[in-house]
Amino acid sequence: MLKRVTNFLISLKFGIILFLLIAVYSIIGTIVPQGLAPDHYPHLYRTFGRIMLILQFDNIYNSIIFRTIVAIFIVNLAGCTLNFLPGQLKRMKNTYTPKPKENSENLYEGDLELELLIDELKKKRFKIIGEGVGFYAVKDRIGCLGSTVTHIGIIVIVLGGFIGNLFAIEGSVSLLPGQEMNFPDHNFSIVVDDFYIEFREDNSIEQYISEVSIYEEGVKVKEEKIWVNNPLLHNGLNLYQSYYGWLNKIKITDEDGNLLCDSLIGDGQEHVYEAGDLMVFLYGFFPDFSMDSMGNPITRSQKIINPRYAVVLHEDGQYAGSYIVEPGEEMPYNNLKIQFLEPTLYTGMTYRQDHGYYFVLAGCLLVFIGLILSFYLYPKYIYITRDSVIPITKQNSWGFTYKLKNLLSEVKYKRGEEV
Amino acid sequence: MDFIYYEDLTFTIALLLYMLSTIVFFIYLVGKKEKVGKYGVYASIGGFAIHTISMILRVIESRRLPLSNQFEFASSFAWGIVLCYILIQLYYKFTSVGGFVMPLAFLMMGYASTLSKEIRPLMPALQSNWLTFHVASAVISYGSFAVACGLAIMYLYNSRSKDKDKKVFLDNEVCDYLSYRVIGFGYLMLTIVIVSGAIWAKAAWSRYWAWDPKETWSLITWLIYSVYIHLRFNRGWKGRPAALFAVIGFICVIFTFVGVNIFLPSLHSYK
Repeated sequence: MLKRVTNFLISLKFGIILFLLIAVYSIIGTIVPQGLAPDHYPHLYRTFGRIMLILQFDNIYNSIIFRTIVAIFIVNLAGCTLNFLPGQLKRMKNTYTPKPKENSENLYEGDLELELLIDELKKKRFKIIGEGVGFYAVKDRIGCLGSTVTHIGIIVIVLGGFIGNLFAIEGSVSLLPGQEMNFPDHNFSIVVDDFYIEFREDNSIEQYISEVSIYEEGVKVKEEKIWVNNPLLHNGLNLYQSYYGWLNKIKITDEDGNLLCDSLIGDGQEHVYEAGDLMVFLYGFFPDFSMDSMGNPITRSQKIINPRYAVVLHEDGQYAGSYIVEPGEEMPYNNLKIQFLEPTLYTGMTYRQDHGYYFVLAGCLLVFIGLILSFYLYPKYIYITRDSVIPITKQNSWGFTYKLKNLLSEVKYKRGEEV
Repeated sequence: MDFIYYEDLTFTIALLLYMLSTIVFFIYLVGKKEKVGKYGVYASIGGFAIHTISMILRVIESRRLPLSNQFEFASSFAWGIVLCYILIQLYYKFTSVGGFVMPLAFLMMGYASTLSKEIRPLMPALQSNWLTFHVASAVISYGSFAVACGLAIMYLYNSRSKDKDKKVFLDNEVCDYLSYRVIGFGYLMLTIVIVSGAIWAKAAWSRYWAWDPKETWSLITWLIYSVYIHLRFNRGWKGRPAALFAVIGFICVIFTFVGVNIFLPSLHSYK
């Protein structure tokens, strides 16, 4: 019984089922929105939403079910590979020669000069094995291992992903020019010297660039530029240019000009001025302000050409007005004056260290080599006797036969020329 | 020189030639006259040459390879299909393959013609040398899968057809094997697409795999073809089921290319 179960677990049939299960789960993950708050799903999918939550469809690729399927798949793949390996190693040996099948096509034609054929085969890297009545021309025995190498590659890729999930260090940081971020585990810190957007003539964005200085124990060791597709690598940690935004000063003064508040605020954030029970919500900063056909504020570009702030005020929880104002323009409200000014770009960087990535790369390389071995360097045998030339291969019998027919025609042609 | 005008003109001529070759091949398959088939091949090669000129003009105008938005990729996809077909035609001289592959190329080109041809500069995430490698391998891979799908359709038609005089069609065994071999090549190229995409994503977005719908659907396509290859190699799956699987695989390819952009929000939605 145990043997039957084990045999099934490492069988190709079970492997195919797992392949399809992974595919189905992956499809579900692209259809069901991932990572929403749990109460969204019953709202979106009604009763089925609750079942989805139980099945962890809200975070499907990190769900226990999906991970279990992948883990079982790896066990299946490893078992399947080990199961096939002895046979493959046997076929690698020089002594191994497959017998032609009864229905194998014999390409021999009466006027074939066998010696010429053998010369041609040797030129094409075929090894001649055996002498006398029946012998073999053999090439690319190494191809036997194609599937094993591919499977090991896939196992290494999944292992790399697993290592990445467990040990990767990842986070993001938003910094204004002049601000510093310390990475104590990697013994360095960065200071953002500048962050800017390069524009093209049509005001579209060419690139986002953070200029940073790197410090180790308080000493500047180098200056670097980070942009999209050009991360910084220092002491094993990668820093990526990931996002950006605007930070703005909000100033609230009373009628005598006394400064009551002076702080920073970004898009979508609110500032609560408790003394007046006033909540100032910055809907957004629009560097090149315009309006869409629905009358909503938009920006035509990220270049400061026609800057405006969209602001909403609430007092005691009640809507108290909305404004579109220029930087520095005062919004009078009761006995207060509210101003937004000095829009400044901040840079958003992601940092990540993932040793699993190198496993993934190695795995990809193995998969690639394995596929080349399987599809192009597959073992090719030709059984030759005085009256038979029989191509034998498992992988591409029609294609190999086609090529051998062409070769035999060439040999015949050469013989004709010699005669 | 008005490159955009000539690019548009050559694109339209290529589209018309692909349509012409589709019609001529249809006549060839119905009428079974070898000479007609040759004209279909000429129309395909002519269309391909002019399509290539159109793409070169776009390269000159945009100063980059035409692989960066939906129109450019659709056009390149059609180009990849015809390239794979012509290579098979030149190597094996199987004229009838064109009758099943060129309609796919024409449809893809037709789809491209409905998209905006506007040349836009590359957004920051696309400014990478990996773009060329990643997308060019996708063009070849998808082109191969299209050809394999055409061969599979020919197999399915052939195996059902009551027409006993099948001399213009490929022998079913040849059709089956060729479809398998072309899928093998496309599968290898798809592996390169996924791997190069992962390396690029690591440089641009910090993670080599983020389960973005486009990359997930590439993986799904890869899994589908993996099943095909395993069943074929280890279980001796041939003939009709294999042909149906080749068609299903290509439907996945089309969904990965078109469907994901339309239905699923993705980092890859470069419209």
